[in-house]
Amino acid sequence: MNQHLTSDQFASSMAGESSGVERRHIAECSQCRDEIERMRSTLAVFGDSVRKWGDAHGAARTSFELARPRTFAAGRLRVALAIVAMLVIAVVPVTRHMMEQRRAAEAAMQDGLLMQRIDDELSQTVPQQMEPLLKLTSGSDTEQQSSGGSR
Amino acid sequence: MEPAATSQLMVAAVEAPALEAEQFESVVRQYWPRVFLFVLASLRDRDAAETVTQDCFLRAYRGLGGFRGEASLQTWLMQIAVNLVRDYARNRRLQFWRKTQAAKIDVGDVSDWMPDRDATPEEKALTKERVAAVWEVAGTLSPKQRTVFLLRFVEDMDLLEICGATGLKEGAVKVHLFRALKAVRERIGRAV
Repeated sequence: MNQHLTSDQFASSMAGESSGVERRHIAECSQCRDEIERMRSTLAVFGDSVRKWGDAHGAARTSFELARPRTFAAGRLRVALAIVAMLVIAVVPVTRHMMEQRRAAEAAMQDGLLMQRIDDELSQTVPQQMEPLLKLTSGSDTEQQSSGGSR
Repeated sequence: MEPAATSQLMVAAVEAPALEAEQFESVVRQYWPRVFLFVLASLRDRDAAETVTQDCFLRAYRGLGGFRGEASLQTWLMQIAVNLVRDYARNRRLQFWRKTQAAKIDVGDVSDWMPDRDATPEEKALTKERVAAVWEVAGTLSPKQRTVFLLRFVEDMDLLEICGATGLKEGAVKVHLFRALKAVRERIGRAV
């Protein structure tokens, strides 16, 4: 038994594809047998280690979730919520617009009243404080005219 | 989950009947760990593995109607995962990010996760060194060699199952596996 397993024979034996010749050689050659045994043991530990390593990195955690098809009740609820949301979206700007219009109308009315007051004051011939004097003056003029007229 | 993936799921959910969706969730629970493990060991990037695994199950869900049961469900899922891993590796747009991720995220050496076994400290140290060597070599294999190697020694799939998952002929699977084993043997020889 001078000839040990070739590289290909060794690989095929490791892959579980050894021929009768290779199996006989392995049975008789302790050196090849030991090497194959050591390699098998190493690859077994390798596989276990990778699986353990994979578990440590989240292999056991399933993070996949299918979106469940909607049930009838859930579908109705979604539709109702959608309608409410649409109503809110539609009503809020209208309400806001109406409030702004009312505020603008009130402001316009206030402005109108103020302008009216200013116009009234400007249309007076004498200041408000002097109005009693004007009355007095206009009263004496009336008296003089009436007395002159009776003469 | 990314928004695009979420929207795709919504579309898929609408297209598929409710019963299928419920059944598929149990499929996901059962097979997610194995698919994720293969993808993670292939890409060595947790975030990418998560995304690719998500995509794998999404595609499986959408293609559930086309599954004829000729292969086992696991082989069928692995076939999708193998294709996605290959596409991911080919996608040049992600090359830069892959390099960046590899530099930034240390997913660690699997030899740090060796199961406890009855062995002397010397034996444990030697085994750890060999496992680290195998992990190192697995990272340098060609994509096909690595895929076949991981399916065989991590997923414990036999040659015919590997053929089903990779779409390769049995002879081609053997060639890739033998080359991978030769590389591992050479490296372990140096490590010992």
